[in-house]
Amino acid sequence: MTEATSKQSMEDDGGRRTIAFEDAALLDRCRQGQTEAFGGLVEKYQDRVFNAILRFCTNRHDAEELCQEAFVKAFENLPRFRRASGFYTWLFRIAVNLTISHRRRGGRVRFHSLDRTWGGDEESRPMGDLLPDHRHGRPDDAAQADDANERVMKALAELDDEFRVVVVLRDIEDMNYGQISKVLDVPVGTVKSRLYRARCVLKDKLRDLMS
Amino acid sequence: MSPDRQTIREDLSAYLDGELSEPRACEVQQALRDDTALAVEFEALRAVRDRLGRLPRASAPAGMTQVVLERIGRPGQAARRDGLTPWIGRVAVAAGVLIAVGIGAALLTQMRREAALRTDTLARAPLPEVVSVSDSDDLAAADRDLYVWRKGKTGWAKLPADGGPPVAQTFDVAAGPAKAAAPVTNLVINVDNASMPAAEREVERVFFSNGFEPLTYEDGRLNRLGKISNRGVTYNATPAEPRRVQFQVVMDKATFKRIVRDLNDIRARQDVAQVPWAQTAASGEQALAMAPPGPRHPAARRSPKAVAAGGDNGTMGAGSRRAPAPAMRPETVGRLVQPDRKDDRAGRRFGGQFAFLVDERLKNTQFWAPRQMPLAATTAPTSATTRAAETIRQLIVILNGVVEPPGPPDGGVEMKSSE
Repeated sequence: MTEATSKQSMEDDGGRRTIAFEDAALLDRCRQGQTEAFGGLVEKYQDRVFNAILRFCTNRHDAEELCQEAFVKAFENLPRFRRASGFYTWLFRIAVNLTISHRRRGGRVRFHSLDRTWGGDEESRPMGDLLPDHRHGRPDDAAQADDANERVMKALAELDDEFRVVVVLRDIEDMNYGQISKVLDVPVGTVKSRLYRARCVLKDKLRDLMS
Repeated sequence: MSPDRQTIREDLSAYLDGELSEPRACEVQQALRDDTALAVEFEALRAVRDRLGRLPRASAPAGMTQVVLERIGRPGQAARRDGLTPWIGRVAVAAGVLIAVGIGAALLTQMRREAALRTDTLARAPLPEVVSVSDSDDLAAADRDLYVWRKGKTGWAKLPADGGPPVAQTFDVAAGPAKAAAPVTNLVINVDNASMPAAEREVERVFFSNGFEPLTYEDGRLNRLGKISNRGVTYNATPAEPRRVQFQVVMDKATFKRIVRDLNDIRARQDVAQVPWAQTAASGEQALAMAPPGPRHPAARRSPKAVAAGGDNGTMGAGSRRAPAPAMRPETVGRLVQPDRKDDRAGRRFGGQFAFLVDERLKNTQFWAPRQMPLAATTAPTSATTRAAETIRQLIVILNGVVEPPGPPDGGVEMKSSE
């Protein structure tokens, strides 16, 4: 890449550079022993990490715990963070790996109706908690949107892990292929083919919804 | 299905995401034009992607930050690698255990709030008039300003190079003698239009990395400069105009030198000419200082009256020798125009003249409208290699190196007003 194009890509990526500087400043403070500065990074990324994990593991309790664990693990491994990929990408890599490991240990995909909880666990929440609450005077189109969202999430949950994660990172977290490649530690070509296949499966599952 | 068509199909998703090279994207685009079935499939993939993007976003549970900070703050608590653990943290919070939020979390919240204010509200307080700009890396040789404390108000004063008494050039005249508090170095970083946010963040990162935290936006807006800590804790960033941001920070001498070095590094990496500028108090207009040839432009040290009179080498004060200002080179001056339209934004209007400077040596174009939003170019840049946007923005960094704790100080130098 020539300097001109490199500079141009840096300018196009101005938003990310802006974010990176903010993260770098907080990380510097963490490294200087100001642990509380890590709270700034948690505050900044917790919603995105939680949302991604939730879409990936589909269980809210697990997602909360895994999200917390991801940040703790990121903090523990700060001395090893090399900044080559950006904190955001590195953090997501930790979160995704934790979630994949968790699922391999026995986390299962559960299907819920909007009105029923599962397992009888008092702390479980119905799938409806994942959707905006329009119970009071909601219009018909909002009800339809909730049903549609449930169907989409169900279809997403039925994907194999390796396909679901690329869909979550690309279409929900808006990462580019390069970032996904770093998060998953796979080549960009693999990201491309998995995403295509995942979208084809979803396209078939949601054909009537899309039409 | 032909192999080509199959590979095109497999690239539809990447084409949708803009992840194909330009030649390949053109091939896919052509295939979509030629093959209706492919186009239908492409639209279906797009519908899937868009639908996924509209899924509601879940937020992390309240208290996540506190719980994480508690865990990382307690050895043993942080090292949980046995998979899922009981929600000890949640129970603790539910039981009403107070956990310190952490300066980082509070600071980020504050910065976000300030950022929101910054984009929504323009600062009303005028910028302090900058007397001079120091481009020199040798601070000892730099012609420095003095930070004046006069009856609780702030102003700027000039320390003449000839050793004469300092002369105050304040924007708020107050009766009585003023006393010097600390030396000041002003650093102006010109950035092109597109790079302003990144450059602003770079400057803030320099402060942030040296332990300075931003003053609240409201304090900065109300020009509560006295709240800037002399212990090097806070700095002030005032976006007085959408295209100009001023930083001010007080620090010790060692930090002073380090930060100036870092800021000069940022300055050197900008893609527009770093021509210093001076302000004329008499006319209220800003004039671009014409820099002599050289990779770095030395400080323009001019008195406002001297500039208005047509010449001064930057010294001020009674009895100082005034050299004529360098003539404006014809090839470096574009049209001087009187804008004929109004700008009602923020109640300001365009007025006065602006000069269009072309620095062919640096292959950059810049121009500046006095006290107003910079105007778009009315003359095409003469340099084909210019990368700067049509408007230039400025970061003005005013560094107060604290020699002694600021005032109101006892003793010091008696100031004379230049008016």
